[in-house]
Amino acid sequence: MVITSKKISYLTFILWILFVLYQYIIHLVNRGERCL
Amino acid sequence: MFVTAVLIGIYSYLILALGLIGVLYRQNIIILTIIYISVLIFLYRTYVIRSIYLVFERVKRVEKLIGNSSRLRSNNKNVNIFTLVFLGLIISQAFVNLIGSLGPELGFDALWYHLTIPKLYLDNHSIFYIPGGLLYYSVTPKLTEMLYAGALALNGDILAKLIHFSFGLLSSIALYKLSRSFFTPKISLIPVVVFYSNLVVAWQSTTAYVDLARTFFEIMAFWGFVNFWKKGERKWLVESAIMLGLAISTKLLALGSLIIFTVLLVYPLFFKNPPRRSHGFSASWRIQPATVRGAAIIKLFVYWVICLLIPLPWFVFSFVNTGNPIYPFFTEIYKVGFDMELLNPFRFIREVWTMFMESSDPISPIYLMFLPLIVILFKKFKPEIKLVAIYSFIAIVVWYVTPRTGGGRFILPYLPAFSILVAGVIDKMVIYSSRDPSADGESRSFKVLDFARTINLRFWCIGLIIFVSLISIFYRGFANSRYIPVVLGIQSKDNFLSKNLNFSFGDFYDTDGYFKKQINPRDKVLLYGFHNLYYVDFPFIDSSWVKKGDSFNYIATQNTSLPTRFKDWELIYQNPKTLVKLYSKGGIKWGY
Repeated sequence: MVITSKKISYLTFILWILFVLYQYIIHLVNRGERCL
Repeated sequence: MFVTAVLIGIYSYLILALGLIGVLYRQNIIILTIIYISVLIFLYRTYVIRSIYLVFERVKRVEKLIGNSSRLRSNNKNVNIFTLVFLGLIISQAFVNLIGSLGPELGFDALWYHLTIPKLYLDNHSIFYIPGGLLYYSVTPKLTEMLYAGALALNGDILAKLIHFSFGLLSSIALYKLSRSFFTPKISLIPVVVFYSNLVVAWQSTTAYVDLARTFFEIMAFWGFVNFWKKGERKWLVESAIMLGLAISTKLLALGSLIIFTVLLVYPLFFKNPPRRSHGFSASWRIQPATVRGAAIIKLFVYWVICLLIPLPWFVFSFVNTGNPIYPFFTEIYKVGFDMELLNPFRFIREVWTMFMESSDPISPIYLMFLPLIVILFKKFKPEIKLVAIYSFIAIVVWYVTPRTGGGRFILPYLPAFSILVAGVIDKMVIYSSRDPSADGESRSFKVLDFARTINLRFWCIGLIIFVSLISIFYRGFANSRYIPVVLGIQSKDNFLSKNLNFSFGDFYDTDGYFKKQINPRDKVLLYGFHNLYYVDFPFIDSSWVKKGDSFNYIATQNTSLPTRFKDWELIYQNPKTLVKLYSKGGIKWGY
């Protein structure tokens, strides 16, 4: 499999989404006390 | 919708008028409300009858379409799965929020001043300035608190909470209608789901704050501006200014939005093409001729005058009492200044990241997830979506340079615009998914859209939106489940508040009913250390506004010690749960 800059961009985007989602869930678990 | 917003504003100002002339009595508010509703029904009787008729007609038409043929049935099924899922998410979230809004108030700011100040106005039958360092918001514009004064007179804090909940729904309806001027009915549901599934929106829907009311007026102001921008008709600029005036009357911080609209009005002066939809946004700079500049300055002047004219009664009231039209801002109580450190771009990025990802009132992660796509696809957006993007960017800058003590809820009025951008990205993907690939160019945005088409990214994006929405429904469902016993009448209000109020953080409630039995209407209690006075149901003076000569025969302290000048007063009651102590000096009246 050839790794192209296009594939790296797509992978970065997917990682970005996963990172934001992970941060959001961690925040809800740790610091969302006001919403409760 | 514009008429609804204006009618809400008029009702609020009628209650203000009752308060200013000193006749803010329960019976007067009831009479005013009945007359106002009767006049509205009479004036809009044709509209009401026609609306009911149209609803029935549409239901009939949909039934006919579904039952017509198998092909149509199949098409409608596709349409309906998406629509039903999104409508289901909105209704589920609204139901979860409704449960929270039907329980007694627990919100800190609501118990501190949003409900307490209207309650004090009602007790004194007038609207007045409360001096001191506790209720210093007594003279700031209070459009929504006037509605709460009416609610407290008619029912109580639950009606006030329902009013704020309704502003969340009104904001969503306004957002859908605004989105319909950009997108298809299906795509227009996306911004509503994204906006309504923000945890900050869901939490606000269960409290008697004012931020959702501000959000409603702000989205209406932007809708009016979009109409002006598209059609060039001055009446829409006036509508937008009226809506922003109502937003400023709701919360002074909405003055920041005046800067946004000023920039949007001044911005076209420096561009080659006039600000019309057909021309879009030109990238080439050129100062417009003097006549064009003059006309724009007149429009800007009229916009500012209307915006400031609507909250003017409150500004005058504040100025007369404090010498500052926007008290307590720019005073020792609430210092406002510009910090040069704000110009640091790294700080800007850090603060924006913190706001989106780490607010105590959480904001949907969808905005940050979509940010790269919004930036890359900006050039491919329709001109009106570009306007939304520019509005959103200026809103973040304005949020950044204005006081940000409120966490996520201070960016709340602009979340509808951010949500439209998310829908704008999905709309682009949907459009390009049906295009011939050979017709695409080689630009970065085309490559992104090509990628999106290849992996059906729009379905993944919609799946993400549904996933985040489900998180909000379950999260808030869990949070609001504590209200279910009290809403169903299984748990008493006393028991609920005793268990859920935070007595070590300023809340008060007469948990054992001692004050109700001991303090009679002729008594007066001087309070020390109390912060959230909404549930104080006996005659009192707070130490923050007590003045020489005020008389009292009890002193109550909460989580603080008794001032030494009263050291000979006898402790007659203490409550380890609420941290309240009550002192008396043989029942005699004492002058401060």
